[in-house]
Amino acid sequence: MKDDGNQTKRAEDILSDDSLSESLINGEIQESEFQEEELFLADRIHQAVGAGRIAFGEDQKNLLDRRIIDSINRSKRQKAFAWIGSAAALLIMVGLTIFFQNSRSDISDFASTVSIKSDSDFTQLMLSGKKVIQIDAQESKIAYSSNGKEVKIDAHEKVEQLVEADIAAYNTVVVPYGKRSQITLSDKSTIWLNSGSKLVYPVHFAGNKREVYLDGEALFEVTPDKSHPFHVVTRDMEVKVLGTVFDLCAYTDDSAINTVLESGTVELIYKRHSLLGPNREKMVPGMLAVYDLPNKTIVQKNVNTKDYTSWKDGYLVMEKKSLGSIVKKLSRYYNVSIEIENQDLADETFSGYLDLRNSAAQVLSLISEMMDIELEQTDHLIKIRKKQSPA
Amino acid sequence: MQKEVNTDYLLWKRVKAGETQAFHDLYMQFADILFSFGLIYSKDQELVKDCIHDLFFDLYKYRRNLSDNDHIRNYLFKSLKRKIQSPQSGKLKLVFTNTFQEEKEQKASLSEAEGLENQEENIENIRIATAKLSDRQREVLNLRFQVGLPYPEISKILDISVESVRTLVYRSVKTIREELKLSNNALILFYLLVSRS
Repeated sequence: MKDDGNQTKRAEDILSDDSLSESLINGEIQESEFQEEELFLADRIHQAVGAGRIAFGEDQKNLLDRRIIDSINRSKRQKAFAWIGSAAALLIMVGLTIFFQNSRSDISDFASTVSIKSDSDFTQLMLSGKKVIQIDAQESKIAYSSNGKEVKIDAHEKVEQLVEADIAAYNTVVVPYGKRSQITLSDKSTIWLNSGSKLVYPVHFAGNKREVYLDGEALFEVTPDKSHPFHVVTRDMEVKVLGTVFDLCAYTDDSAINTVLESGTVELIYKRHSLLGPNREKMVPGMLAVYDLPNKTIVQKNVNTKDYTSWKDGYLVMEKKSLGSIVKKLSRYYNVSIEIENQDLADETFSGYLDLRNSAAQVLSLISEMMDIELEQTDHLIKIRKKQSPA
Repeated sequence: MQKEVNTDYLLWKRVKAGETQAFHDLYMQFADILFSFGLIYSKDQELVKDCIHDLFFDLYKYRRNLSDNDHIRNYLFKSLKRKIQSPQSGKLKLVFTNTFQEEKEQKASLSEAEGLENQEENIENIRIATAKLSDRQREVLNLRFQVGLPYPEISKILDISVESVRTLVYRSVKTIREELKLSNNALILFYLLVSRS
């Protein structure tokens, strides 16, 4: 039965009616029941409004999913880590820049041959067949199966690689400035790689030594295995891990290597001035060891270790840190250029708790509220200067 | 229908329990419609994505305060709209992406390629006419014909009666009709051409 009432319906009647508009959207409307002009106008309006629709691309959609899940996992991890911290795990942090000849090993030879473009915006994972996988996530996760053949990326993607039992096959992760990555190795050791860093590691550990190579900064949670000590090799210094968790920071543009030990024991192996063999120095928890690269000396002092390791959990604890050093950390973390216009301003110190989930500009404006500075922001540069007192 | 309500309820329980997989499931269920919904309130796709991220992360952070009988869809729509329209959004952003211009250019090249100039022009006239509508009228039209939400749901999102929603649409169409008459009779001409060919 036809509803004769439809013949009198105008475009506004059709569009404001629930079921008629639904039929129109689905293209199921009975054309013969309406006045042609009115149905035509209604359809044009529906199409004109609908034309503004933009589809959510599959890739974009999945990336956002990862971002959300990463944020949730990071929040969960923060809690997990507070617990590990109190359970006296071992944390070290090292930064380095000088040449360390005695630690020259297979892995550092391999690391020097790895050529990955470091100016990419993506976190890059190079598998043993030289295949490079690009990861867009801000906080990516890479996990290896126990034989190293299977690699899970951010819980969604899985890749496989050929691993031969006797040959040491290395993988490399390069994280650009502004991103971070969490890597779980085949021995279940977990490494948080900070912005602008490179890590080389065997797909699976063979022989009696577990050895990885770092350029940049990372925090290590090492699975204990006394018969297979864990070594972190950098260009200039080597850390022998005798306990469970440590963090190593080795940026080539820093002039000192900082090692911070939260608990447990580590041994630093470094080059002295003399031509004698490498020097060894043990550390106890709560200490910061600064390896001064030009002088090739190590000085240890007591510190609050959280100041040095909190970046992993997405915040920075600053205790009387110079604005210059804060800005250096922020620009690495966020991959933005930050310029301080007055030199004396760079030496001013600041104490506080910075939440790195905020943008660089937000973090800086927080600092600017506490110090007499003003910010000027252009596309990729933030300028900091002293507040001009009104003349 | 009953089953759908049931699975929604179970998912909501898992979300409240803080199960990571539940947030993934919830996101996958609503990502498309939320994205489309968000773009009504901002043309900045990055902003919309950031707000969707914050929406789900807040859901995780404040999951313990969620009540049992919250209607998931309505909750998500309302919160997303609030986030996009909050004065903090868009401020202090380091990267601004103006996709609107690109989108226009893309559309222009698309219509040329397909030889649909006439039809596009016609639709463009209506788009220009919608500029004369009130924000509320445009919002309702977009929710109905861009996002595809039924009127009862729109009424819940906007906290107005279904009748008010219909009246808004009714008046919008009248306004558009008048605008089109004022500007030219291209629509009728075009209609005649199409229907007689």
